[in-house]
Amino acid sequence: MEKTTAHRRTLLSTRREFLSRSAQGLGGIALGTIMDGSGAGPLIAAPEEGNPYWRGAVHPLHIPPRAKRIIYLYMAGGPSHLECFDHKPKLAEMDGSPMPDSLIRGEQKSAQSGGQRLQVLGPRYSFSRHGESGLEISSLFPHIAQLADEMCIIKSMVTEQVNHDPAHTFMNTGSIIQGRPSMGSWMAYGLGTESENLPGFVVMTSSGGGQGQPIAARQWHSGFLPGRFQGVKFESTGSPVNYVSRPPGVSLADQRELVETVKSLNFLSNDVLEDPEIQTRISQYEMAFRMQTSVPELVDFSSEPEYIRQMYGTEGADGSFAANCLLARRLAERGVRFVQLYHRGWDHHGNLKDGLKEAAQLVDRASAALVLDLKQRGMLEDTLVIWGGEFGRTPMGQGDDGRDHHIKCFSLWMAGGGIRPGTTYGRTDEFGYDVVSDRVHVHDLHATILHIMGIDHERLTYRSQGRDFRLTDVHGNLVKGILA
Amino acid sequence: MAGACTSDQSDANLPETVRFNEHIRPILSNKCFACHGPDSGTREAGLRLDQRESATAERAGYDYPAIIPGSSGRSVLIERISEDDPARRMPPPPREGAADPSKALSVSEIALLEEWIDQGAEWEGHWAYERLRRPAVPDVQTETEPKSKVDSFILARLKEAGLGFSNPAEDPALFRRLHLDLTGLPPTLHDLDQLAEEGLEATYAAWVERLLDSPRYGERMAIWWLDLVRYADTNGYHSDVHRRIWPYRDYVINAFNENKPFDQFTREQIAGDLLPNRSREQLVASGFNRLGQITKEGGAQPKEYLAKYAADRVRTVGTAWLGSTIGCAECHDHKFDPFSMEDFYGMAAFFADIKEKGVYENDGDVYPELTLASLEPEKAMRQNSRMDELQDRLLLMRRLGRPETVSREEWAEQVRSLEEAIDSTAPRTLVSVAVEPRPIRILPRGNWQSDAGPRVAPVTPAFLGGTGQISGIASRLDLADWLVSSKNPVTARVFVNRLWKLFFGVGLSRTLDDLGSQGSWPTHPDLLDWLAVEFIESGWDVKHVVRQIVLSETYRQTSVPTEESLREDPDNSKYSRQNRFRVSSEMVRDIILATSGLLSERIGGPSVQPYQPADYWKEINTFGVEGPGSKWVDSNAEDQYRRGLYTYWKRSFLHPSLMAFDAPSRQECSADRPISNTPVQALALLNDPSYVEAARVLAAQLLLAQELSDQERIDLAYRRALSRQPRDQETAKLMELLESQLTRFQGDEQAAFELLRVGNRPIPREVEVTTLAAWTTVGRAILNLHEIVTRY
Repeated sequence: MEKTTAHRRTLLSTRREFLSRSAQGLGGIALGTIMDGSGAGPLIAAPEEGNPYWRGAVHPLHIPPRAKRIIYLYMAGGPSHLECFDHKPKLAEMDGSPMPDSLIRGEQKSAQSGGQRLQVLGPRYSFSRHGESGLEISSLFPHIAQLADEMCIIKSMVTEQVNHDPAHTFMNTGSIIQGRPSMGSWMAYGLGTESENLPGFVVMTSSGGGQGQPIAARQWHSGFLPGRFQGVKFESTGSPVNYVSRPPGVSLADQRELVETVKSLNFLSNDVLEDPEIQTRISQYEMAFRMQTSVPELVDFSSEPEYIRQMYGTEGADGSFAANCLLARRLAERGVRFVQLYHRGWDHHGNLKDGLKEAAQLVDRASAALVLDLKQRGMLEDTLVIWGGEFGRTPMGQGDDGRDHHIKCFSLWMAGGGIRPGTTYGRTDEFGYDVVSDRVHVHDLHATILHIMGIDHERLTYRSQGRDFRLTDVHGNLVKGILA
Repeated sequence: MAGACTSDQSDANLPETVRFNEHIRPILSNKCFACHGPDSGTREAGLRLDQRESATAERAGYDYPAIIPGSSGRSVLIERISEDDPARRMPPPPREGAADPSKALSVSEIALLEEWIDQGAEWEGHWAYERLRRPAVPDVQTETEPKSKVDSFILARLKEAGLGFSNPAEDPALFRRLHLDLTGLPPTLHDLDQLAEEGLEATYAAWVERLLDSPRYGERMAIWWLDLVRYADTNGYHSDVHRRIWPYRDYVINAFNENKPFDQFTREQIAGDLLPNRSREQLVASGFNRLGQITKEGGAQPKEYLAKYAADRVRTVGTAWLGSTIGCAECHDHKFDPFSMEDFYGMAAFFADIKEKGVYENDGDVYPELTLASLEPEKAMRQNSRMDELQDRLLLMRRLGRPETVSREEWAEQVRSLEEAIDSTAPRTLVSVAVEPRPIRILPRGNWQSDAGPRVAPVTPAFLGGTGQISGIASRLDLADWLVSSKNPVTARVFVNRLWKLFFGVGLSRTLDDLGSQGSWPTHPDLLDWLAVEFIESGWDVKHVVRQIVLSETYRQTSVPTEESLREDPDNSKYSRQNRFRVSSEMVRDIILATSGLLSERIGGPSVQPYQPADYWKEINTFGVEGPGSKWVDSNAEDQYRRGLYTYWKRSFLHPSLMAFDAPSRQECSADRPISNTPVQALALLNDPSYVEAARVLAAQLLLAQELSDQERIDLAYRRALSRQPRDQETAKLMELLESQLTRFQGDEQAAFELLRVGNRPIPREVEVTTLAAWTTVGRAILNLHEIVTRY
């Protein structure tokens, strides 16, 4: 079975050729297999040449990037813009009066408020101005308020889906049809990873403060993109990644010996089988082994000084949003491209006042700490931090202490890479019911996030079912006004 | 990323005969149809290029038609695509500053279009929509009679390229391939012994029959059908709690095992409830219509969700049977294929009679269900062991009669309470029940709130041949009849294309979900059609088509490429060798459990819950609803070791080991799984307790064979795991690992105990602990090999 060098070269060039042909649309399965693990690196590399990891489909970047990585603080459930970042004194004035018919006539009601008398509910928390920029932020967020001069608050977000599950899917994938890649997968695919020891797209969840509406794993799924671009969910308690812990009784040395044996045996069978996937498999075992050592180190907060732990408000990986924020910073430092933290606690159909307070207390300190910590490390300038949910809440009350889902406007803020700091963007009417200027649709948000990362949203495509798909579908306009 | 769907023509000479479907349609479809195609909503300048009449018609404002057959020089199309002035050149850039390179025509594409027009500009209907005719089997000169007609088609193209078949795979490799492809399981030691004795050449056909008769065949075939119909154990949306529908899965397994004709299989699923003298089994089959996602979310609008369910059904039938993306026509006419919005909603209307709710009660059942309690001998439905036990008791009581010590009243009471218990544990399953159809309207831009669109009656897509004369309103049964009628040219093509994929890793058309004009041109269109005709004429006999494929020489070739095969046929589109590919997620599990001897042979029944990381379902919220979809409880005894397809399928949180190997969530119909190769897979194979336990149980069996030397034990392990003998270097490597691990565990017996405690299966008493631990490591090494999860 002695093979010539020329033969090996043929294998190599063939695979490259196949790769380029696949890229022209040979179809899902071929593309998936070929792209997986093959990366842009050497295809039949000597083992010591190391792991060829994925460097991204967009090479070179379409535009100079303003950020290299994203930390998305996803406030699941739909935080009330009217109690958080969109101050509406008119609501306080009209508290308890009927909503003006001119606003709501002919509008679709959600099933929960349908049929009820629609009365204005005044904001449950007061607002004040902060920083040199004088941004108005609610008293719920004393810590985030300190970021006033770092952040841009978009008050004119708009979505299309009024129920949690489809609204999350829409926010993450730009479509409600399932099977589309989430934005983190698009980033991992388009930009590649900078870490040899960790996946490019990591997700964590926490809860508290309201009805913990469920989050499906589809929110970080890679859809039709190859599976390697799927978000890997880290647990912030127990084992941080599924199956990352060695079996009991197996030491690190045992596991290394095992992986080395598997590698040697795979090499031996490759002599007979000449299967390029074997090389990929070997690389992935190496990555898996490195994850088994890098992940425990990653979640070990003992190397963090006391003042940092206090700043975030966590002592260790305890499953809290605060712990996840600290973990997010550590992931970002290690080259992870997209970190998404869900906090499930913002669905306040009732118990609005206390529920909001509880949710805010769980996320306020750590959200601010994350931004400030990135800043003091010089990382904020190339990290995009996003904070927001899937929709807003109605200016009309639901019962006497609740608000229903609302899609015609909501607030979201960003800070860091490429964001014009200390500003607001877009305006809503005096009830916080509808956008009156500079509407930002979910598709526009996606286009802008991609732009910040150096990608033209119309040119990051992937062919599936005979069509080139984009994160922005056939929509999306760049929101220049939020860029520095 | 974009470009022509078919082979790249850039450095090839122009073909002698330019064919519309092979050469021209992909260019027009990719580059032109979006504005000059079937969608009336986006059509520019009144020109459509998918139809000859429009493309060759005189048009106001132009001196000439877009295309004048025979004269590329006077055809406006050629003029416009070769314009020097970028402002006039077609296709236009999508928007200023953001030129999309994918739409620009290449020089060779323009040359092809010119040549085609000069040759007379013959249009062809899209291949998959043309009438099915049996193509002539190519007459290829060979020394021996081809093993299957399939070979003649394949060989004809190979010969054109100056190639031939590769050698057949060696016996053990081919034997393993055949077992994996037909049953999803590796051969047993007994099978291997028989192989060693008899060889494969003379017994091959008999083995094919034996494996087709194995009940494992139905389980293996069910996997991809369950993906298409999006079978799952939970509701999907929002709280994603349990639903009862597993008897449908048993139905599918049995249907493949009994080789139920595919036309019957189609009718029973789509309209089992409407069949005359319908059987209980046919009602179970009609559960197909209830497999989609549903919601129980408080505040959700029933009307919105009914619209979602309707669209989901159209997408599923469209993909599963028609291999089409008719789902695109929910909001607009299809851009590439002639599906209109009327076709979409007309298809949806077939399902408007299904009894269902838009939003179900949070703590109530999804309905209507069929209760399967009965003492009838329907073995398929009697897998629920608790019920078996109760029924056996009842039978016994009836047979033995009342003992004298028990009063008549007491006896009656005992029988009644037992009957009640049976009734409450009896399996129930969602089925279709027809009621007065709700009105279906065309929803403008897919907007469910609008009642502005016209009402539509159930109707099949006109261009695929309508349902024909039907008195009254067409029913689901009419739809099913049409799907498998001779008028419909696509269903058989779609199905045999997917069968081909099972045995080669790719379809004859690579796009399993789309045989429409954006799908890929088949590598062997005549073979595809020949198989499709064979399928129909055999009475939709699935096993018959499988035989044609696996008996062929094409199938039996080695998958190890020769230099020539790699050079001349790099992507193997000519089949100058077999393909190799990773097995499906379920099979990864099955192969490992079978190797260890743990695999349960029980067929069918409710889903089971193999070990899953403890915190994995931590984040779910089922709003107080309890049941198997709310809390994961590791299954006991034999149920811990069932085949992968019986794993509890929770759509929002699929078992992470299954998910790691690309099993779909089944929220949507999926025709093709991606095949990835990721570190998460390595972690699962290394550390999932199911696989650690399998290694330990394998190790124990090796040690229980006391007469064997350590080298012979490795031989045995390789035969069980990989169906072959280890090579010397492999044995040496594993012996090295064994020695080192023996030393390690002898020095730390506690660690050995800990490792051996993984998994439920007890440890045989006669095996020494540190030795077993060391062999467990050896077992883990073998079970982690690339060869384990790959079909060569």
